[in-house]
Amino acid sequence: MDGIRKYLFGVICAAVICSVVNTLAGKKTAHGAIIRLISGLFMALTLISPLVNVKLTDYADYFNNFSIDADAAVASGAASANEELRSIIKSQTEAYILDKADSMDAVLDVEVTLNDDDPPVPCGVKITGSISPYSKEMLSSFIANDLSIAKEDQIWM
Amino acid sequence: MRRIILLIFIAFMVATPVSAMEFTPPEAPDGAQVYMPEDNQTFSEGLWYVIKTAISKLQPSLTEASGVCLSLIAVTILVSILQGLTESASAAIKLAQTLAISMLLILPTNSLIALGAETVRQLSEYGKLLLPVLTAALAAQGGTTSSAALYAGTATFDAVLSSIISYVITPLLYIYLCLCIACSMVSHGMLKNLRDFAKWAMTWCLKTLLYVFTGYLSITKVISGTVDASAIKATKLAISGAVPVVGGLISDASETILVSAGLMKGAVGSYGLLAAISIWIGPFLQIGCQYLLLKMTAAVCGVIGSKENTALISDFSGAMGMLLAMTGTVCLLLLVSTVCFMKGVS
Repeated sequence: MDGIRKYLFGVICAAVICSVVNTLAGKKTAHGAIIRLISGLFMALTLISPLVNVKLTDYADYFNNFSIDADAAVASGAASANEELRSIIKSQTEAYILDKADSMDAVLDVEVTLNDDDPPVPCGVKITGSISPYSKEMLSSFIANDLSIAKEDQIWM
Repeated sequence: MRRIILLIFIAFMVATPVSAMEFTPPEAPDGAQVYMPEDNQTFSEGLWYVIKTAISKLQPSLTEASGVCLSLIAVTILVSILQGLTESASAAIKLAQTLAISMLLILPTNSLIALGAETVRQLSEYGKLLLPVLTAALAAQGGTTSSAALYAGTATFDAVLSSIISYVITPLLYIYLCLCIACSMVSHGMLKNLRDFAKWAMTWCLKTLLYVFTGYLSITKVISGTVDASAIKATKLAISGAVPVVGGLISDASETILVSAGLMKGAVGSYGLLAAISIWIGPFLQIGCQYLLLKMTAAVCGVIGSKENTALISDFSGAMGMLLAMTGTVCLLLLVSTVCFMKGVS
């Protein structure tokens, strides 16, 4: 941007200098025509020369940074949403299992683990507490059928 | 004292983390805090509060601008009387009149240009803080493609616009004013052409950037909006294909996330809109007052003063108009992009 400012200043200064020189030289003299030609060439050079040195790759790199920032902001938003989603699914699944256990008069502690899919799905459970063998079998079947957590992924302690 | 400690203890006991997903808007800068609504008001109430506060704080600027305009009218009347009395020294009087008008206008104009440039800088800085929060909130709501495209586009246009304003338009505004004064002193065709070119370049830059930005937003909305809507539909399909109980749990959780992210995005966006308007409204009204009063003064001076005199005052009001356009464009860019983020995935 500093380059653009310098370019505009250069063009305006050149225009002012050319107009002053042309006015001083006069219109009807023999030198006037030559001076007008030279000042015209000077003005054209001032207009064109900076455009030759412009490196467009610098600007491309500059704009590329915004794309990287955008990706970082999107990743942070998506990550926090995913974290929240995991937390809700985990707590709701645990509440579901505890509700079933409560209906069987069992007091348990449940910790559900989720896989890394999108959306995350319950893949394992760790159950602690005292429960009768019959109720354990019933609850284990419930978990396997309703929540798709296979019996081998259920850890009873 | 014991009660206070007990209250603090109870507050800590009661305060449980409601959500891991939190999007808080950046605070408005100190200068804009005076315009910000204090209570939790609705957006329209907040906006009305901002406008009322800005108008109530306008009085000193209005008095100052009126003083300058009255001085300009006084100079014009004095010059008209002098020109009527002395026919021979009209060139000297014309020169003195231009100098007097320039002296009267250059100081307030300079301070208003500085104010406009500072407003643009503050809006740009605030946008840099607000946009990542809105982007994250929109991404959390499922608009990953839209948010990335909106952020990249807005940040790019904002950077280009604020750089052009700082490095090109603000210096050009000073050059324009110098050329206007020079044109008023010596009516030279070359100077007039340069003055017109400076004005055209400033207007063209602002207009073109705004048109391109609006076009970019329209295209982005259509393309990335469709991509995000398809992605959300695909996720819903995947959920419906899961085991009923698990599918129901995931579906409920996803709905909760979408609703809470949407609510937070709305709150951040509303605060951001009010903050952007608060940064912009004070300087805009100040410059707007000066602009309108100079237009009125030019009209009055057109009746009693010379053509050059009126043209010079009109040129200064034109510079004020350019400042209004400059601050307005940056603010509009931020407002439009914030609204696009708030609208989200359709």
